Amino acid sequence: MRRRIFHAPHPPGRVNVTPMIDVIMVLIVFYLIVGQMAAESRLNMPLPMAEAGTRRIAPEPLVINIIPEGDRVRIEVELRRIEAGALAELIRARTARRPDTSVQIRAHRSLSFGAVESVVRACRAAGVGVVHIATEPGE
Amino acid sequence: MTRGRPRRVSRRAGGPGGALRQWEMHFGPNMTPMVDVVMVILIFFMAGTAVIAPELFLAAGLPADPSVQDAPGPTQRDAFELPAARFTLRLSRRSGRTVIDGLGLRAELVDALGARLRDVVNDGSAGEIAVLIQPDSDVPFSDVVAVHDRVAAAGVSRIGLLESPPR
Repeated sequence: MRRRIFHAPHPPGRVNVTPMIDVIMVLIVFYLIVGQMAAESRLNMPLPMAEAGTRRIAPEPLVINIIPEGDRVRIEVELRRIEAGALAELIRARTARRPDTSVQIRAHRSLSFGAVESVVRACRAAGVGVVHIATEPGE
Repeated sequence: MTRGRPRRVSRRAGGPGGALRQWEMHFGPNMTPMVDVVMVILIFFMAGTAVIAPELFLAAGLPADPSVQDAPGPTQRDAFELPAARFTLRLSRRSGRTVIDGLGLRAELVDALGARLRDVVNDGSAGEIAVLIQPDSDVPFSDVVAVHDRVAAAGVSRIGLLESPPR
């Protein structure tokens, strides 16, 4: 009797849930982190609509959000507000550290090009060859 | 021996499949409520990440500005190079609508662009030309993207974005 207890701590017929809980916990942590990372750079705002856009998973994205604020705009990089004048320096510093940085511009749908222009100018001044404009699928 | 005795007695008393045998099967913490909760949390996070809408990107090249050519700083590997055959589309605002000049169009609405593009690139030249979009500051950004979208849909891969011309 005593020997049987030592040999079979989990008698047949009883489901061992420990590995399952381990796996589920790992999945939960995974989704937590993914959700956190996704929310970090993506402010929820309507983007201009386009059909020809492509999905893109950049290894090193630099997301520049352009948000209307009254009749002016707010430029945010990684949830921090930044003035248009300081943007070129920031982009240059980032591309110097990681040459494969992919600059992504997320501008609100209602903006005029003039609001985006300062960001485009800063990118060009920083030596960026290609910017990626975030759009929403649909026409 | 004295410790083992009550157990043997109780087993006999319960018998196989009796109440006591059932009690023996459920020793340890009951995992069922915890698994239920954990499953709900898991589904919540899975659904939460699925709700985040997919984002699509249009690549816009920034042709090098001659004035910053000598500026210190790295040039990105995928620098936008312009082929000889390039067209500039000027977007401007006229009586509340965005009109296009360039590529043979004169103050035409955005809708006219698709047909014109088909005429220009139907001979397989889409890969060889570049289209530069030069909007005025007062053109809505969504129209800039709409033009970009149509040019990209026509098969042109090298699309550039210029700043508005000085007035």
